[in-house]
Amino acid sequence: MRIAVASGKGGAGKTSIAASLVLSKPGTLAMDLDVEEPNLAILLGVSPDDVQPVHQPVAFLEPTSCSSCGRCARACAYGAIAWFGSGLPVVNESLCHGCGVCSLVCPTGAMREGNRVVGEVRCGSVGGAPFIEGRLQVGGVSTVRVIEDTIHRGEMMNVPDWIMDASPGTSCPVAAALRAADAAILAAEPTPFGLSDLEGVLEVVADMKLPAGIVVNKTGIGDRSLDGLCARFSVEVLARYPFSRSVAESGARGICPYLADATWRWKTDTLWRSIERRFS
Amino acid sequence: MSPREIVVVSGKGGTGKTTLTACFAALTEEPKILADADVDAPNLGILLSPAGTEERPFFGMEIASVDTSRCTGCGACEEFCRFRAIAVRNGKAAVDSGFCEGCGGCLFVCPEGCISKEKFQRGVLRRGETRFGPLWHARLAPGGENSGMLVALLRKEARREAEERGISLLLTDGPPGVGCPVISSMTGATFAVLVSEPSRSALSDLGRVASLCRMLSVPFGVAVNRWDLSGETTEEIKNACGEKSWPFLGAIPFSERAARAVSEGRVPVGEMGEPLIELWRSIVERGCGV
Repeated sequence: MRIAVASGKGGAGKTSIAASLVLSKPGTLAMDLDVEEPNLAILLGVSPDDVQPVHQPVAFLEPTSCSSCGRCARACAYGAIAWFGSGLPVVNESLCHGCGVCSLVCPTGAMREGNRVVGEVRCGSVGGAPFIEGRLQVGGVSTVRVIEDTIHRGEMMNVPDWIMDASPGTSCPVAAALRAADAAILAAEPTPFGLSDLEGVLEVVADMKLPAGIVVNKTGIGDRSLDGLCARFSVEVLARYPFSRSVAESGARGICPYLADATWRWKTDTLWRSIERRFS
Repeated sequence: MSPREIVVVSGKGGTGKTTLTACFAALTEEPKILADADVDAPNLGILLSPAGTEERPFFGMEIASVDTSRCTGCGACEEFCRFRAIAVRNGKAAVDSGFCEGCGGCLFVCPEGCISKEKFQRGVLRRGETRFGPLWHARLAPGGENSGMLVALLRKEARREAEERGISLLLTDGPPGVGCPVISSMTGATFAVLVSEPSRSALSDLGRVASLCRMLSVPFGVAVNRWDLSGETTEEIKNACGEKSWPFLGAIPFSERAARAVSEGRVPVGEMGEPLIELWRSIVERGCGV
């Protein structure tokens, strides 16, 4: 079973929960899909040693065969090709999405595609099971591309059970991670911010018809009820982790709370049983 | 005159961007415009309860739309699409609006000519009045594309209002991460406040967002929230600031009272107290405040 751990709000405990689920069930593939700010390796104490670049196509012009017809510039939806009515078109790489339309419409084959590096996939191992992390190059915007390459790498490993640590938010990077999942665990703080952002991510999983369960983190910091949201989206709370200064402190030192806090550990082992009961 | 814009970002989520933005808004008496550029998970409005909200739809890139009555299900579109946004299901091509980037490739390859581009609402843009000034905020449709585009529009509108009304300060609450919405939030800003917290993860994320600031030539400084959850890691962050020449702006201790105030929907200026005032002063001293 492939499980994605997501949350609308950042800092709700996705990575701590994902790392704990991995440590609680040896043999699970750990995958960090928060490619803008990957942190799962820190909490799992992994140093990935196998680093592969992620490429994305980018348009380039072979000027000798260009007939200056301007079709490429007219077809580009992103304004990434400038052409001033005559002469050679100029590609602005930073605006190019690598969609391939310009080379498709070019009648002379002058508009071609090369590759550029937009990020990395890093692999290592945790307790004998594979660990994979996607990492977007700083300054780049090909977040979804890096996520998809990371998932693709995971698919080649033939491990049945996955835990994916998704990015915060509710937009395309989250959807890209959820698309590869059989079920979602949504981490939420019982605060006004937490509830509002949980609602957003519940809408995403509902649109995708993906089974989901909620993990309430830091209970005690806020006391907002999730009952209304649970009823509206027909989801249940699978676990509640209390706010604990010792958990916050172990996280600060980069230690997974599963290894540092007995309550947290017991709650995680129980969470796995709820996941198996609810989603298998 | 162009307004100064202070944008609050963090790399890691949940470090307190929104709370601090609201506090800065409360601390400065100068007229200002507020903007919530976290269009995925907008929270500034929850703390500031804007009134008299006006709303308008946001249309992103036009996306592919299939005339299924003419589609033969040949799959040429699916084969061409680099974004895995169109696929033949039950004999007809179907577009996944969350992934379509509107390149139009499918229109060119469709032998039946049954694909066209159409306007697609990706979210809403809103403006309301808060006790600290007008707030521009937005919400992206769940699972959607084009967050960077919505952020750019939001900042443009906030800036236009500031210019029209002669308001010289813009305070922007940014999104987490380093991807397109963050780039869109920071490009051209006067100053970025990087809110970190004392954890290995936050330090790693801080490094990435600091590199992004350098790349975009946005001056910045570092603030550490809840610094006393690990004095040791806070020292590490300060050392990193020293080594890498990241200006250090200040640190705020953890306060359960402040956390509780936020969970009750209040701006915790009193609860955060003197360290918050010192942090704001240090931002102002960098030439970007009042």
